[in-house]
Amino acid sequence: MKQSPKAVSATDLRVSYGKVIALAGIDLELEPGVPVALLGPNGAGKTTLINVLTTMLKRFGGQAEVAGWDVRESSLQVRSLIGLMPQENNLYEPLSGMDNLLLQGALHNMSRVAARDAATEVLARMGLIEVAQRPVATYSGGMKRRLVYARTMLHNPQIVFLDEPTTGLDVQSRYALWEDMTAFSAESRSVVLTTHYIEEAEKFCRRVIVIDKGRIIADGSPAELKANGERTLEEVILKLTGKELTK
Amino acid sequence: MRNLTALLGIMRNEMLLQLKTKLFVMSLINSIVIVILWGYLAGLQAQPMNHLKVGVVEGSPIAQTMLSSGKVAAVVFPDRDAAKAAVLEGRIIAMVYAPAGTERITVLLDDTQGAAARTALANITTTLLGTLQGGQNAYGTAFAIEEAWGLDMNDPTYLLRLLGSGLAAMVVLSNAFVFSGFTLIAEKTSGTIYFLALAPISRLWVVLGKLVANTLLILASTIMTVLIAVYLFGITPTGSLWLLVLAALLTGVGLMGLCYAISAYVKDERTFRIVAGLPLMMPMMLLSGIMYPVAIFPTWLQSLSELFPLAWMMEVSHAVFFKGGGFADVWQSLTLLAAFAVTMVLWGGVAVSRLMRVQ
Repeated sequence: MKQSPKAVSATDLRVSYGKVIALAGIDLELEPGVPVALLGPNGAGKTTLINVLTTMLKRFGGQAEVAGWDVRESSLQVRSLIGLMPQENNLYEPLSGMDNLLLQGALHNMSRVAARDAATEVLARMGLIEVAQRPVATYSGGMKRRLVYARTMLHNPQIVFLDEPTTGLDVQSRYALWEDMTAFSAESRSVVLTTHYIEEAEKFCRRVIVIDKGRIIADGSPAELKANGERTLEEVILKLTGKELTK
Repeated sequence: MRNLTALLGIMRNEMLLQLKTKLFVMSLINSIVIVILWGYLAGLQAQPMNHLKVGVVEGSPIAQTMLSSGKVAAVVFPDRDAAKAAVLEGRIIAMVYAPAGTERITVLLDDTQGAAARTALANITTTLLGTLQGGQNAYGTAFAIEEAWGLDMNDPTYLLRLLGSGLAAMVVLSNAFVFSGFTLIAEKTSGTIYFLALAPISRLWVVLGKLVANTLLILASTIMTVLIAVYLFGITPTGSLWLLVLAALLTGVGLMGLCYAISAYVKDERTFRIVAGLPLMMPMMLLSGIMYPVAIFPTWLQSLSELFPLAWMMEVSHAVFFKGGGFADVWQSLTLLAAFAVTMVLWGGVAVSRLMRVQ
């Protein structure tokens, strides 16, 4: 397997949907073990960027590598190393939480025993072990969100992309998730996320990248971004984008 | 190894989904209800109806035919009026009269007798059919069935065997649409198809896993239904049932590939019903020889029917149930079905792979 010091390395990423430009030339390098927040208004290009990096979008200009693997030419290797938590709770609702995780394990070539052990462990971390055998359809919105997170983490990925991971969660669950992500990145693994909760991003992410109109308009640690006297990261982003912030 | 583990995982998941959503059970119950109802009705037809008294007129050309029939109890009356009076008074259920020198046959039926009257009429008709020699008359349909399928309509079990021949095709057709098309659309709606898209395997393996799982379910459903028909109603195929299983497998795989392709393109379940149901499923059901024999169609409709894969399966089915056919008799139909299956699986696989790539 290729080795790369970079979790993500992208050069001049360009994506357009007809006349709409989603990414207008993004250059990006992410270090392993540094939690990164992608922030910006709706339609800024954050999800498109995640789609490119997770191999879901093949038609793009420029180059992108994840953990040293080209996302176009080595998409299978990339997919084996990453986890993606989408905005939607795309779970098999008629099946149990455990069955959902066992499928993820099988897709990542885990033996049945290993998948069950890993599932039990991550379900316990997410406070879902008691309901593991219940159909997902009976879960609350927050429980489903935690299950999607558990599924993302099941196969012990090197890099996770989390799109609005804490939306719909109560305060306790949100903090439990952030702690889990922090512990995950402490093992030199990478977290790239978008979030609605700017203050949480400020607290837990060591690097913040602000995207607007398909371009990176600010990049640095929360402290660096607030160097011009803004009190919060939210103020910084509003000032940069001149828009109401939705993410 | 990675692909095999993932394939087995997807198969397990797909089967669990069909079981937990009760789609499989409901489809199976549906098929069993159809076979029992159809079998019961066909069985009524097959039973001797000697208790149903049918009047004939002494000296009438068809009197002897009716008297020798095993399906009605013919009672001879001296003239037409006496027989007619017997029907009106409820002593007999029907009378049949054919004046000498004419081609007209009159049946007077006591329709207050409900199902018994209809059964009597059906048996009278069947008896008369056995005596006619074809031609351009109202019974042409029946002779076309005999000629095309090698089915002896004088055999009291002919309706049961008709049931057996069409049953497998009906189960395969309906299950293929439900298990593949509707399930994939549900995955599009819930977003789980995009979760599968992130699996570190070729997306064709995802389609293959779903296909194999659903093929096994369709085969299980088909075999169970046909076995019920065979053992519960004594339908005895004269050829090898394995040929029918092979034809069902190829047809099911092909139809599912087709449904995957369609459901990858359509927006929702309602559109799928419109696109797949009306232009595809209904014509296949009506024109493939399941419900009506292709031989009775006008030439242009017969040519159209030959394009339907289900018609190729029905050729195998007719060979198995009526003609005692072997592989040598049906290899052409099986080859066509195999080509259909491969083509549709490729199309469905490519369509679903594209679907998984685009959000």
